[in-house]
Amino acid sequence: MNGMASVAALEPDAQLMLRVREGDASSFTLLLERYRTPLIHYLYRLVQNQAIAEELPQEVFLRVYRARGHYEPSAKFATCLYRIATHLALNHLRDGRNERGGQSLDEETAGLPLRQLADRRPTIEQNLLEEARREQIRRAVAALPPKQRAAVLMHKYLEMEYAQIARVLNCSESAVKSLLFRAYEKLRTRPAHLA
Amino acid sequence: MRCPIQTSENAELLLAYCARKLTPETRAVLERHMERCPECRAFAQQQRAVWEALDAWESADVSEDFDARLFARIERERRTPSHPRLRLPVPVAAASLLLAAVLWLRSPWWTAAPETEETAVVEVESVEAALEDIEMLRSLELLACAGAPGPARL
Repeated sequence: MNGMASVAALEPDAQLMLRVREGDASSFTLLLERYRTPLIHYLYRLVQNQAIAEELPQEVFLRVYRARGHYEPSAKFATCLYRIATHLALNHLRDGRNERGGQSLDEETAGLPLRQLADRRPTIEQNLLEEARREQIRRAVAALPPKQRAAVLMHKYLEMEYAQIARVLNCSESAVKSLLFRAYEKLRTRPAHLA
Repeated sequence: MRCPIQTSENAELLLAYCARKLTPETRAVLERHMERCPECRAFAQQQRAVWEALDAWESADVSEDFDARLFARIERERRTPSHPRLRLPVPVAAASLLLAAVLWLRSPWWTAAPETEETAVVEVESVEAALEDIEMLRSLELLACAGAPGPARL
């Protein structure tokens, strides 16, 4: 970075991160406030385990804090953050740690919506059908290979463009498109009986 | 226009359409096409159903003590002096880990030890995981996308 003009041209997150690098704790708090909720929601949907979805973001922010001294504003902060988060989550899923600790969403919700479908009152029936649809899509997302799952979540909920998803997943843009098309194809066909 | 379903490069148009990311002009062209293309209509209808189902999938609340726990961890790290080994330059640390792993796996002690094949795999994975962690720590400064152009439009 050369001078104040260059710093001013940076994205706001990068400016904050540079201040964190200089030891400004309040800037770290601002970044935390900005990204805490979307990051937790992303990881919750990715690992589908509430306890882990709180543990991983703690680790993500801790790693960002640890690495603050090496930060260079050459990449979008959000991309770096989600890259670390996705890497941790994919490692976690690969190691199958979610099956050993915490309560998975399957345990929380297994069988609940379908057991109650016997109630024939229209509004309740509609609600239950909606609930069943949500449950179905959640299970369909859970059944996707982890990288496809991450790509869908970034595309849908974080509204990332293909190029940014590619940078997070460290692959080409065309690979991201392929991941997304295959993932959405599976999602379109799986809940067909509830659609 | 050519049918988006028939051309993989154009299939993203349909995804973008369902995500409401198309410009009004492109959207109008696609809608005119869909009026006479049942395949694309069905695709869009199914994709919209997926999109709406995903919209309805609520996430968990953030626990109130999230920040407090994080700052407590940061504070604990601050008070604990970092291990000198962690101050090694990343390539040196990575190379050392790799070398240590190779020597360890080749040592007589290793071959004589009554370890199972499964244990060996786990140990190799541990080394891999350590290398991945080092790589991740570098990501803030060495991200492959450094200087890459901004996000592409659909």
